[in-house]
Amino acid sequence: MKVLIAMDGSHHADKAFDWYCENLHKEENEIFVYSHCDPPQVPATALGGLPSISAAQLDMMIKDHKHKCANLKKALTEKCKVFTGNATVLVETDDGSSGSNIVKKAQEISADLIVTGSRGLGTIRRTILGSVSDYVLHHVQVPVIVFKD
Amino acid sequence: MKVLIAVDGSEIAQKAFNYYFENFHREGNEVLVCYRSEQPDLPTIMFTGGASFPAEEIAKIMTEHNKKVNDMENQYVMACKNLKAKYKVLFETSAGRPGPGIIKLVEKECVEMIVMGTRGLGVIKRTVMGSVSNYVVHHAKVPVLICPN
Repeated sequence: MKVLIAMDGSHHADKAFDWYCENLHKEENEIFVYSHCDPPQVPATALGGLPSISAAQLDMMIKDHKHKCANLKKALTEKCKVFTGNATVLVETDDGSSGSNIVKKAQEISADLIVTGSRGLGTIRRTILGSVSDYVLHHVQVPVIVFKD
Repeated sequence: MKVLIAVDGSEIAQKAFNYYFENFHREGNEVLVCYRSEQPDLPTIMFTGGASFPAEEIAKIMTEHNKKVNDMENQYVMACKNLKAKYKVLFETSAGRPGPGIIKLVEKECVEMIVMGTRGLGVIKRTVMGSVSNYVVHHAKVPVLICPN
């Protein structure tokens, strides 16, 4: 069975990963740990078409972003060492929301199951189901595990 | 791990039950199969030859309903026995809505994971997820496995 575990670097996602490993994982399952990194937020150009940040600043933003993605990939690869079978770590940056990218990736790899947390790095902690897990639940045709803690 | 599988007589619920056993069940797991059935629509007053309380009609409807629920209960008891799982089958008809009933049962029985279909016997098929699974996935404090058709 191909399992896509959606992670965003949050502590909650780590717990979802651990819980899956402890309670549901079977050795023959093929694991895909997928993290969608939002592209760096470049401030819109000011009126008149002049960019509001310098080329150097933009450069730094892109470097920071690449650095962040690399660190995340390293951390997730480390976590995947617990799997004896096949495990792939995918840290990607694409347009679109994390939810839609998770759905796209699941289709791309023909995932049989998606594991997602119920809230991640988003700031609104009052909500009982985060926007990403909500999106995934409503747009996929495969079983989804929504992890809660 | 204590797992609750919420069923309702629909094919999707049956598939969710099978899917759990085929892909995730582990020997030590205890499975609770629950059906929180809503009370069937009962006629109130019939105006044939003077206002008479339709006791006979009501008795007939309730007997049929109870028989259907009992048959389903037996079916799941047999299935659990065949799968040699440690199990409990908790079927109940109440006036309350199934969603809150399931959540209450999860808390009472200290269930650690919920399994259910995306939708059940409900008639309104416009939405991706039925009202009960929608309620449960939002209000559960434990992981929920949602299985589409």
